[in-house]
Amino acid sequence: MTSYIIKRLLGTIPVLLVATLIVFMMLQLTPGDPVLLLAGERATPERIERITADWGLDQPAYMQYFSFLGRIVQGDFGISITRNRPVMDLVKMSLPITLELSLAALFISMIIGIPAGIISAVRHGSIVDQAALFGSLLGVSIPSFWFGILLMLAFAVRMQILPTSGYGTLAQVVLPAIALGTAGAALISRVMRSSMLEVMQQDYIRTARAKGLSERIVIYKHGLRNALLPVITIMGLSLGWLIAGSVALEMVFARPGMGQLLVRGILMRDYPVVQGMLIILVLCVIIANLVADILIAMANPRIKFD
Amino acid sequence: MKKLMSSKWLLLFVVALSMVLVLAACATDEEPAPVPDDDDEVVVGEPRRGGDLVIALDWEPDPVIDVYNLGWGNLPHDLFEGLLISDYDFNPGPGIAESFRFEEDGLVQIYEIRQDRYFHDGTKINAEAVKRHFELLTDEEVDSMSRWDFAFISSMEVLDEYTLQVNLDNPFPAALSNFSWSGGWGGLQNPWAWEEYGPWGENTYGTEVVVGSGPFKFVEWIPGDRLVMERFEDYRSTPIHENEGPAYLDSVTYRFIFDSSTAVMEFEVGNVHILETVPPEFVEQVRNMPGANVYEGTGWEVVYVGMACDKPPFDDVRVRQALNLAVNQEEIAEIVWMGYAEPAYGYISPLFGDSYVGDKETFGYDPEKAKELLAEAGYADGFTTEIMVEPRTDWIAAAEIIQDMLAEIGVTAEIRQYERAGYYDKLRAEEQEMFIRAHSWWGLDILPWYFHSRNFPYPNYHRYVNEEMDARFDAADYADTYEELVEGYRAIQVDLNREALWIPLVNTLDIVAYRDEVQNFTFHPHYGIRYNVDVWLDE
Repeated sequence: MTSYIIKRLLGTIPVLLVATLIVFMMLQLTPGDPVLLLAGERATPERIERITADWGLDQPAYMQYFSFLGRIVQGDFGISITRNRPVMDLVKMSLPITLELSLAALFISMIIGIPAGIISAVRHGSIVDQAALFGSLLGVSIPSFWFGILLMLAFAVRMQILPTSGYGTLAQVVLPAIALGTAGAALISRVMRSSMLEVMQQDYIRTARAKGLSERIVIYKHGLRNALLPVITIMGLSLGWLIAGSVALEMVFARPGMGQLLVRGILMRDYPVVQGMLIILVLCVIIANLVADILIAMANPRIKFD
Repeated sequence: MKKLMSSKWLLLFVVALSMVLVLAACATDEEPAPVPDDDDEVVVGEPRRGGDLVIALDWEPDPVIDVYNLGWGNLPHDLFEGLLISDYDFNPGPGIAESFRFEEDGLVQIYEIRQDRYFHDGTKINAEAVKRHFELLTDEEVDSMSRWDFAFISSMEVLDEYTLQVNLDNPFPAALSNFSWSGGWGGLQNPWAWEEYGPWGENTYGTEVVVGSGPFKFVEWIPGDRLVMERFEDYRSTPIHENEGPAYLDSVTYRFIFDSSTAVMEFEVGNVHILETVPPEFVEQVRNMPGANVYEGTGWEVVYVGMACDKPPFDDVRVRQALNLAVNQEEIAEIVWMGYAEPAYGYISPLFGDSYVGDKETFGYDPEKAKELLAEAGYADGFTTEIMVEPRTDWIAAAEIIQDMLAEIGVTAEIRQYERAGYYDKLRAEEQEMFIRAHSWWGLDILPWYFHSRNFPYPNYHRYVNEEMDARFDAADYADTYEELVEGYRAIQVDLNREALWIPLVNTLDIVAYRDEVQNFTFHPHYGIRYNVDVWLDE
């Protein structure tokens, strides 16, 4: 398994290279000069020239890219142009905040999505199934930032049982995690439902029933374990979009996570921040998928690490 | 049947829960709190020490490159104090310097530094410290943002421990005003700390270290989240403040909450004491909250439509006048800013008082005359142009209304949105035609900044070149007295107004909300700031 993990991690290097190159090219091709934004309207031409040179932005684009890669290899993500702080420091500050929200949202997605999917499948066609379908549609359709504001109004302002915004305590992650996790729950419940329906029609389920096992054991021991496999894959993939989705919620819930930093980085053309954040995000998604693959292999002994 | 019933109950429960959630979110308090009358004064009790004043900002201070760029707003005034401080009538008064006098027709300025003042790190403030501060500020190597604001200083001499002489080559009447600006320009900072921690040293100045001499000292700045400062016990106040120092508050926390609805909710539940900016759409809601007070006053911001004055058809003054007359500022202020803005008829805010000259005749609304002027200029059938705008909801709405108003006189304007970086690029590339912008400058030097030919093509992106006007700008800047400076700029504005170089749209209002707990809230209109040294919390 160790060699499998190492092999997978080594495989991420070309992915990272391609991702950074694409982002670098996109930033270069998009109009906008970070120095103009940084120096402000009252900056003199000399000052603009000086800052451009200080940040190496007067170098040809390919030189900038290679010097960036050279630094990355040494673990140096550079210094944020707009914040004058090492990008690594910004990552250390913001990554836990984003991961906390994403993982909490994933948890919410699971605890709502998996039971909802199972119940829908077991009672498919019933009113409960219809309600779950309706709930899923609603969950996917409601923009998470708007749902976040609604939750904040209800639980923080009117009932005053949860904090409005911020970060640092478990209570502060509840509302954004629900807002973000609902859409994920909808997706997971649909996948869980169809997977469960398929599994419940398999011969081994019929055999289990024929053996006289109770319906509970048939569903949870024989059905669920097999039906979970696609759900685990979906959860691994969804961590990526949960992090992406956290961008809007970090703004709404005033959480200084990576999404917020990335958005400002893009708007201000803060190349080191955008590049650095992107590498970390790509790594997060790759690791999440790796973990999902390992979990699948553990849940399904038929799969062997290769 | 039993199963079906339980399913029904479940569905009913889900629907009921959703309704509770929606209703709870939509519910308003039964009785709105009485709207505070503008004339009502907040009851001022006895000052109390303690508490953390939390202020919500919908922006984060500008990127810090050098010591002199901590962004605008109230924040620098808590950390720094100027050599002088303007009083509420805009007259420069004592700050770090307890007195000043001029000799030799103003070419020699002598400042007596107070003997009881310290920097936050305990360093005593004396004439040498002030001299070094301004030396760094004007140093070519440092290349500070404020370098040109103090370029009038030709040399400085320390006469004794607490007396500083500033020598000028030419009279510069705006000197006192520049020395009075504690937010960035004149705000005194420990120059030796800057040398140690700034870009020449550890490069942590402005992010982890800031050493000023204001009522609060820097504690920490968490990017994207908050900036915290605590009371500086050795602060002794200047006469403009009621409190002789130190501050009553234990600390001041600036929270960066970029989403307005969140900031308003944090304010409502009492986690935030002051909302530095209340967007127009939230003003009524905030006003009706129990325990909330709203301050409204003319601000420094002028929102306008710029034109590339050297490109046809904008190179014809009649076209510029026609475009101005086609635009109805009153309607724009009412619709876009919901009445929380005043129609603008000049290049600067009316807050400038005597220095401001508006021109309702040029900048007013008269579509019929606009059509005549266009015909006279040879554009009876109108023309096609584009309006460049940043993706701000209010500016885009204004652009759409202007588009309709211009269509009334036959001008077809296409709206093009560019996000900030792209917008600046277009200006730099000299590709602009009409463009929506705003400035909030509080000095008359904004006029040469935008219209002097030495600044062509950037920041004079209005592309106005007039040698005679250049000479008048220079003459006003180096007038012998402040009165002559003002007179010079008044005359300049009269002529610039006739040139119709912009379409002024609105002067937006400063709208600040504060909770009842915030005692002795005063708003200094000069810089659009409050002095937190006088504030205490009654909780």
